[in-house]
Parts: sequence; C-alpha cells; structure tokens
Amino acid sequence: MTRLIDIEIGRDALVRAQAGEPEAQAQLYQAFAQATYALIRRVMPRRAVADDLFQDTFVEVLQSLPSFRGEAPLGAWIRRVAVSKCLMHLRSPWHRSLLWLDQLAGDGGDAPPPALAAAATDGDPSLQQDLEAALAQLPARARAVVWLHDVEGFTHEEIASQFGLTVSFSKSQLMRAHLRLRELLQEHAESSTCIPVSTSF
Amino acid sequence: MHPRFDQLLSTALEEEVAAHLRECAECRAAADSAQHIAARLRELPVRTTAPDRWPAVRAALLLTRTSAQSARHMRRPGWLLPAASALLVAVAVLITVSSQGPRQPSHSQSASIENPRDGGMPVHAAPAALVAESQRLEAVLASLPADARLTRAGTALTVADLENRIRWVDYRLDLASEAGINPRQADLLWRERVELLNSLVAVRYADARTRAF
Repeated sequence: MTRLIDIEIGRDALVRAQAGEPEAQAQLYQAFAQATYALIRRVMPRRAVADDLFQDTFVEVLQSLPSFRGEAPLGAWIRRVAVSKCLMHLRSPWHRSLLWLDQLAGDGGDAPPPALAAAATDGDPSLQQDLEAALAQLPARARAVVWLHDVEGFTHEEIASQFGLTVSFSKSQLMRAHLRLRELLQEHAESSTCIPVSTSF
Repeated sequence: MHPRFDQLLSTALEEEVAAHLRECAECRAAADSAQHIAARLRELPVRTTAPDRWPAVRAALLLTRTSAQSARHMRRPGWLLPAASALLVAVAVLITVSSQGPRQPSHSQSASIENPRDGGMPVHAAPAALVAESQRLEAVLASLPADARLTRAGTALTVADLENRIRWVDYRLDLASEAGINPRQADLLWRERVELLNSLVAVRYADARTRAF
C-alpha cells in the first residue's frame, strides 16, 4: 500500500485542480482517496464515522487547494487535513456521546467491524489478527497516538500540536498504548495456545 | 535561553537512556518490545476500500460555490435598494396604466417557454436549453426511489440544503418574471437551477446506490 506522502500527481493536474477544474479535482481525488481512507479507518475504526470524515477531508482539501503552496508534498498536506479532521472528531461532544451510548449498549465502542479483524491474507495471519484486535481495543486517543507516531512517523511535538495538548500527553499516551498492546498480545497468545481436546466424556 | 538548550538536553537524555538500557534488562526488553510492536504495526496490510464519495464531495464544492455567489449578490451597494424600490414603483404604475388601456396580446408565443415549476406559467426570455435540462433533471429525480431511510445525517443535510437553494432560485425566478427579466438574468438563474439540480441528482443517486448494496 502506497503511503499518502509518497503519492504524487502531475504539476499540470495540480494547477488545474487549484483552478477548480472538475476533471483535475476528480483525478486528485482518485489518486489520494484510498490511502487517505486507510489512514482515517486506522484512527477511526467505526466505518460510518470514517466515511463522513473521509468526505469532509476531501471537501476541505479541494476547497483549500488554491492556498496550497507546494512547500511540502501534497500527500503530506492531505494527511495533515485528514488527521486534523479525525482528532477534531475525537475532541467533539458527538464522539463522547457515542462512547457513552456504546457503554450503555455494552458493545466495544470503536471496535472495528469483524471483517477488518478477520480477513488477514498476507504476512503471518494470526499475528496480524492479534495485533488488529489489540489495536481495536485501545482507547481512541491512545490508538490515534500510537498510529500517528509508530506508523505515520509524527513526532511527539506534532502529535501534541494536532491534539492541542502537551508533549507529555503524547509521550504518556504512547507509553500506555505500548504497554496495553503488549498485555493484549500476551493475553491473545496465551488464550490461543493449543489445548488438547478430549473426545471421551 | 541557550539556543541549543533543547538539543543539548535531548542529546544528554538520549545518552543517559542508552546507558541505562545497556545495564537494565527489564527496560531493554520493554524498549525492544515497543520497537517490535511499531514495526509490526507498519506491516499491517490495508483491507479497507474507500467508499465512492466523489459525487457528494463534488456536490458540496458546488454548494459552497453557489453560496459564495449568493453572498456576493447579497453584498449590494447602498444605493441599490432605493433604486430597486423606485423601479418597482415604476413597474407597478406601468402595469396599472396598461391594465386600464386597450388589451394587447400579452406575450408572443416565440418568447414564452413553459415553466416546469408551476405548471405552465410563462417565463420570459428563459433560455430554452437550460429549461429543457432542468426538466430532464426533474424527471431523473422523480425516477429515483422515494425511500425515506437515510444512510447518513450529512447526506440528509446536503439534500435539504440543495432543495432549499432550488426553492430560493425558484422564488427569485418568480419575482423576476413579475418585474420583468432580462435575458442575462434569466440565463444566470436557470444556470444556477440546473447546477443545483445536477448536484441534487448526484447526491440522491449516490445515496440510492449505497442503500441498494
């Protein structure tokens, strides 16, 4: 999977998209949609929320495109908009009320749909499944911090700035997230050890 | 503050941490584990496919553009309101005078086009191609399944907003046809109506397709 910051579109298409030309805007959307959605789904496993944030991200990207000066790769700029949208959602009363409703309903809140955690195809499927499941069990902010730091390569300063909180917040969230992931992976490993099944009762 | 204070501090801390890790097996295991987890997270495959939200994105962009245009129309110079009032009074006087005089054929057939919005009221100088396109889009909208279920709140709001804007264009068309409308005004209003209808069709079609699967 190509990372957002590695995707490029031609200079000509970018200029035309900045001028508001629909075909060039569609070309930009096609080029960046998949990687942007993948990032948003990692931070926001709830599909309905991720879909809305994905749409909002592209509306903002295309509306603000004329102000893009090309000082950083376009993918990095889109990534910043997407992450900002996700974190704004995490801070919103709407997200907090959803968590409260989830707790009332007794379900896993931000847990991903079964398909996300069940259909591992490459690498070591069982390890990937374990990690997917463990990641889904992290609280939303911890999951966002661990993904942005470990996978997207954000620094603690950048994460703190995006959350509007301190660097200490980012560091402590990451440490707790790593500890929790380790515990969860250990639990998964212990629960999935081979148990002899007796057929005689 | 020393300009390199942060860097000196972080370098010193890094060395201190590295020294500690060399001696403490427990912390070394924790650090290795964190690195291992990070590496495995980076290797996780992507199994999600982005939904096709281009029609909705495009509709939102068009909506913003028409809002900005409407806002520009709203910001009229101060002299315009008294001038418009004077014009309306003049038109009213003319209508009154003409209604008292001998009756003339009101409009030539070639200059009138049936308005699809109000069942046959003539719209003067309306561009035929845009009216025809507007009628075609209305027919497309009518053919879409009328399902009350909504896939998302954002879609419902977009649909409501588009419908409100179409009603606002219709209202301006009615006002304009009462006060007399020049071809350029008619063209702009009908163009805006067709653009909004296009967006509405795109959003409604995308929503219907989402519900179908």
